[in-house]
Amino acid sequence: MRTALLALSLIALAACTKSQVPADPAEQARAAVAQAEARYRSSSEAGHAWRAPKALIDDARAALEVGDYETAASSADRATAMAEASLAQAEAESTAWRDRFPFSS
Amino acid sequence: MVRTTILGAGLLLLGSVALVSAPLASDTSDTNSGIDPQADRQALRDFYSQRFPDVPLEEHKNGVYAFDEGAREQWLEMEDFPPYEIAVDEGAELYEMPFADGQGYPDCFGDGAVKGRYPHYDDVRGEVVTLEMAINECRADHGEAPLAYDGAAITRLTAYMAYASRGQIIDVALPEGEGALAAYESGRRFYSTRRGQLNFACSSCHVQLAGNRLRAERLSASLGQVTHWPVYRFKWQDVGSLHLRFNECNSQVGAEPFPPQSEEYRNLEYFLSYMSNGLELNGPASRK
Repeated sequence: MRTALLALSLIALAACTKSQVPADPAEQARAAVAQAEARYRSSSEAGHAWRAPKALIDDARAALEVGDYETAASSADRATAMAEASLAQAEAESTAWRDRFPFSS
Repeated sequence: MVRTTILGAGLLLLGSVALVSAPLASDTSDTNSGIDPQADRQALRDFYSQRFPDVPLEEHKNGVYAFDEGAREQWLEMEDFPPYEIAVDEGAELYEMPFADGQGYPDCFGDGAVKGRYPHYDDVRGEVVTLEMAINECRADHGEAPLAYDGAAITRLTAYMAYASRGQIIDVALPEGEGALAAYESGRRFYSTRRGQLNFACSSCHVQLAGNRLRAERLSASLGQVTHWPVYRFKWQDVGSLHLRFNECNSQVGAEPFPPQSEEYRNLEYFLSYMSNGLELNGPASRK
């Protein structure tokens, strides 16, 4: 029993240690860009895309190409945040638009 | 006693369920129920009558020049040598130029004075048809390649056709069928939906803030926004289409715009045209 607990603790410790090791910056940047692209695609599909995230994704891609992973990740993260905001806008506007015009119905 | 109470409670519950579900059932049976374009149009006219009590509604065909006296004077002076005149002349030449099969635009549109027929909802096709679409369909019928919707040729043709159609009254048929009502609703919704990083709807500027200044410019009313296209804008240094203006407005608020003649913009044009029913077509025009 004790041996099993010790083994489990060691496995858990190893997992924690592994997750704390910083990932490859290139990989991190690519993942950030992929996430930004996915969120931007969602906002386009909702008909609510903003222009700024698209420009930021273009910047991030260009930075990736020249190996500037820090800029790529930073631009991509900003693009993701803005795409999220545009999706929140789409959600809010799905009903709010009705109160905005002097319509009867 | 207990049985009677249970039965009574059951009946009450059944009754309340029936009461609640009845309106829901009618809501889902017709997705367009509750849309009343006539009442909307009247509400909008009443709104502008109150907002601009000294401006006859028909005068909104002139945009901000309906209520900005100084700008109106400058505009009237510019009309002595209208900057869209060259586009109209070039459009007339294009209009008369025969296609490869010997036919031409006059075989599709007669003398070109057909702007009053567009946009309309085509029940068979299930979509809003605009003049620009009709021009390209005329070309396709005669074996010609389509014109780019954001190109100079189609804008010049529509400038000529708008000029030939001056004085016609906008008379978009009341959207009644399911498809027409859905297209109308889509346009109405687009007009009222906040977009872009600046979080503006078309109605933010042209309803809530109509008549106010945005920097140095006055904001026009929704009524009459479709009467005068294509427009020579000094900012563009050329004539451009209504959909180009939609595109520009969306871009200005930080939203990703839609392409000219997209379903979104055609539905928006349809909605705005119905709102402007009764106003005179007076295109092309010049604007700052």
